[in-house]
Amino acid sequence: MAKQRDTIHAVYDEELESLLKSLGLFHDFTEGKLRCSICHDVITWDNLNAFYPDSGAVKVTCTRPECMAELATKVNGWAP
Amino acid sequence: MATLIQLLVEVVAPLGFVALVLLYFLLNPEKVEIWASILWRLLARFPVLVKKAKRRYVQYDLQGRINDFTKVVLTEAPYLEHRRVDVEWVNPGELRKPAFLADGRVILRLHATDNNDENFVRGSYLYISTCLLHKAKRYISKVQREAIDLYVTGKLLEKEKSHIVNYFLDEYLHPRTTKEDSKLVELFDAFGRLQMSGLFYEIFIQELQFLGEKVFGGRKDPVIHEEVGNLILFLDKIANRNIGEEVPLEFTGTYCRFSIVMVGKSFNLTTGGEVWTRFIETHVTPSQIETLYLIGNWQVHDVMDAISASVAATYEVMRTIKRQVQIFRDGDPMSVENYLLVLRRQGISVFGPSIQKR
Repeated sequence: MAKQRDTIHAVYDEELESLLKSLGLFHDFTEGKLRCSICHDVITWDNLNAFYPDSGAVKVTCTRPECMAELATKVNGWAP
Repeated sequence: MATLIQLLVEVVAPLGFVALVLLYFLLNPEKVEIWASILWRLLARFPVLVKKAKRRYVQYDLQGRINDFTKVVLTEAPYLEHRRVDVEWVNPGELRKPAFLADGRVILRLHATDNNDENFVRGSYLYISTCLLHKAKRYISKVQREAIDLYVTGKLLEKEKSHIVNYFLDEYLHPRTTKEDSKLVELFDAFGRLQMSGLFYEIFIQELQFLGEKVFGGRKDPVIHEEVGNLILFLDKIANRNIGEEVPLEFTGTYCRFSIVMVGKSFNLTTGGEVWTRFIETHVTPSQIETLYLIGNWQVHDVMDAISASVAATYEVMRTIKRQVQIFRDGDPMSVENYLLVLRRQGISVFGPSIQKR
């Protein structure tokens, strides 16, 4: 059976600031206005989990397990 | 076999230990990744290398251990797609917002840390939740999907980093034992019972894979949620029965249609397993059963192989599994070695529901 490859794209802590700037989120982040797209908690250095595109915008999730589960649902377009 | 051994002795032995090690790593690239992560962790003690080494350690630890786990899973569930995982660092300097929006990919944040456990939990969970059984998961209910993801991630952690299983359960499962999520815990516990009884968890995953192949690309059907729920209850009841206890062994849903045939009652046992062959021909074959699971003690595997040969015109052997499992005698658990034959009806279509809904 042919092996397929999946890729986990990741950003390392040291480059997180650069990534936030590249994606146009840094200002909101430093102002405390960047929120988890699922639970709406304020995103901080400690709880930032992942970035994903949704409906033409860059969304961010926090590290709460429920939000991580919901992230899979959103990116795969699964049934809610 | 003797030729192969002779070949190994003549060709490999002169090359020595180094060649054997190289051959081992060539056949097990995930082991190379795990050893690389250990090496980078050691190198992180040198100040001049610390930044690069920690980064590499985080990358290879996650990548290698997920690949190591999926390799084991594939030996038990070879019908699952064989996927290798690569962890790739994004380069923020090259990444542009329009490209990110167009690619549709998730970027996971990984910490620069000496303690990689939290990274590992989040990376594993992301992988399991987005890649495992992704066809079927599109159609099953949210709570069923989450229970599978939590259960499999727990198994991955148990194998690769057992010291963090409790942390994972405390953070991910236990907070969700509130009333509204109690279904999730019920399912999680049921998967544990199915796996402890061995071969019924295999049957569950196999049926989900068949289901995914059937429905993928079609519309979402609430019937599927109910059917998967019934499937779990059905298997759980069999897994927890006492020896000799009569429970239904045929599942005839809209999408999943299978029969479990237990081989082993000694007074019926003949070398050719004629009693079971006759039962399959008269009761199973005329119905719309698509998959036949023959289960029995390893001691009667010859009989089971004979039965599968007798019904080969109707059912082809997809795979066999031999496994140590737990069964119950008068409520007390006991360990036995069991054998499972998965037989699929010849020419069965995997597209569309098995039967037309009324």
